[in-house]
Amino acid sequence: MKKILLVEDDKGIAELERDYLEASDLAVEIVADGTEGLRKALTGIYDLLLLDVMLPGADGSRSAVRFVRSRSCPF
Amino acid sequence: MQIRDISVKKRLLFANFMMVFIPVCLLLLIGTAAYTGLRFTGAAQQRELVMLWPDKGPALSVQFAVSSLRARADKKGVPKLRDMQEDFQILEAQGISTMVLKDRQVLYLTPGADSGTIQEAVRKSCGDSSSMLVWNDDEFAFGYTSPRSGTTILAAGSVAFLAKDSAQDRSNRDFWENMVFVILGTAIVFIIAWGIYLSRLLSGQILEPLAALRLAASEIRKGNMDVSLGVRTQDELGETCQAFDRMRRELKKAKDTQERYEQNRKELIAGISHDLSTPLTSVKGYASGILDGIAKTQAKQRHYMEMIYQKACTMEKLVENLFIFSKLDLDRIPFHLEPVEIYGYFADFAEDRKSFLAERGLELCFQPEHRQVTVLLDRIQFQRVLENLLENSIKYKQGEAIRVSLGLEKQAAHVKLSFADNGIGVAEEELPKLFRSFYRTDPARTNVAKGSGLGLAIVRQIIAGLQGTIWAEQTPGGGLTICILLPIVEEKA
Repeated sequence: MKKILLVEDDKGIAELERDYLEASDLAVEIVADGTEGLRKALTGIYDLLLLDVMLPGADGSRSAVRFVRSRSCPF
Repeated sequence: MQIRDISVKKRLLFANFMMVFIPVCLLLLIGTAAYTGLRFTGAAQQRELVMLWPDKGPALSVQFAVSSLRARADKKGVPKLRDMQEDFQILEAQGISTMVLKDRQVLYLTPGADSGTIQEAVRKSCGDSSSMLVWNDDEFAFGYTSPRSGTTILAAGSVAFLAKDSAQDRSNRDFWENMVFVILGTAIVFIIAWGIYLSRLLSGQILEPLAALRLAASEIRKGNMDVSLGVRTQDELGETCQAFDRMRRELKKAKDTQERYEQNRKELIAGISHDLSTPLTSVKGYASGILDGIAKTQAKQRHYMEMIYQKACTMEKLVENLFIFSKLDLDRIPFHLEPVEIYGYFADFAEDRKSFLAERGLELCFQPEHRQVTVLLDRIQFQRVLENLLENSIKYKQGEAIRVSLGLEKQAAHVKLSFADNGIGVAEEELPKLFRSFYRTDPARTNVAKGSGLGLAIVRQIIAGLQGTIWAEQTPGGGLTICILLPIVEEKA
């Protein structure tokens, strides 16, 4: 099963997105904070990273750029 | 091209030039006319000059003496020689011999003179006329026989009518005539130079402020409102420049206010769009989830429906706050002010709301005092202020509970109301921004349900309507304190 890291601070939207993804047989892990999301993305193994743009801690765009710089992966 | 199209500098120079030029021309014209008239006309005019100007010769004194003798001779009876003595002396001083006859008898004869010589000289010049005065460049002869008294007066002498100038006199006269021309010429040159200097000075004083005005207007047109004129004179131009400077400051103020309003408007629109679109996205997502069959169980479907309801409530609250805010902003909410004793009001409020707030995790602390301080309040609007402030503290509590201490403190003509909580607090630099519409300390605007960012903006508007002021401080030991200053209308000990 493919594993997805979802960084979304709005709990309702995060749950909804998780339901949709799980309905497609994907495993979803939710993180609400940008800094925590980046830390998990860098340390864990995920097939897809879904980031909200406006996030507490570190915003989505900055986290994505830092992640792409450290790992050669599609963005 | 009209005269007004010519530059002020040139017009000033021309006006000053004319002011000097015309009097100088008139002066020269009159001077030349007088000089020419008196110097280059006939001898009669010269004699008139001499007659009018006794310094030039003995003419006037001789004339007076002759006239006096003639008058005395006309008196009946024997002429009084004693009275005539003074006139004889005047004539004799000029070398004129005199004699007085009555009935062919000589009554007076200038000492040393020959009566025959006098009679002969008079007869030669005057003929047999009974009254005649001849005075030319060589001799003087006067004969008069009074028809009343028969007294005859004869006078004769070799004296010229005009005093002859000596070579020295002529030299002096030429020198002074030349000096007159030199002084006149110097005066004219000085007047012209002085006129030019004054006109340049005056035009400089007028044109400098005008140039400063032109420069400032040009800068303002470019949008630079910081250019100060720096003209501090008290004349009309100085006052004009100062009025212009005041206008510039007012314009700058208006522009800054306009920019601030524009920024607020942009922030407001951005805030409304974000805070409305976020719950709307959720509503749309949950509805799609039900329609797409994502919510497979009944419990899930109910959860989705509840979420849709919650988000709709959030949007309703936001729209309601927006409506109140815009009405306050447009002064559409009337304030029904009434005198309220604030210590008693707070004591009642704390008593009434204590248990309700405690259920929501807020501990309200208030120490009532027996003081009577009256302020003007609109009860409904002020209730909204208190609810918004306490709601805010609940939203930003640390952990499960929060404590809010209500404080009242009299400060001169005002009473200070303070609401100090021990919540998460706000950074020092964020404090002044708290009362801006749609402002939230969290840049991610994380949870719309937590707050629209309009609560404190509404509070500020209401406090302004109550003629009060509001600000935020950090609570010592952590948390946020909101302070409100309201004017006291009555106080009893």
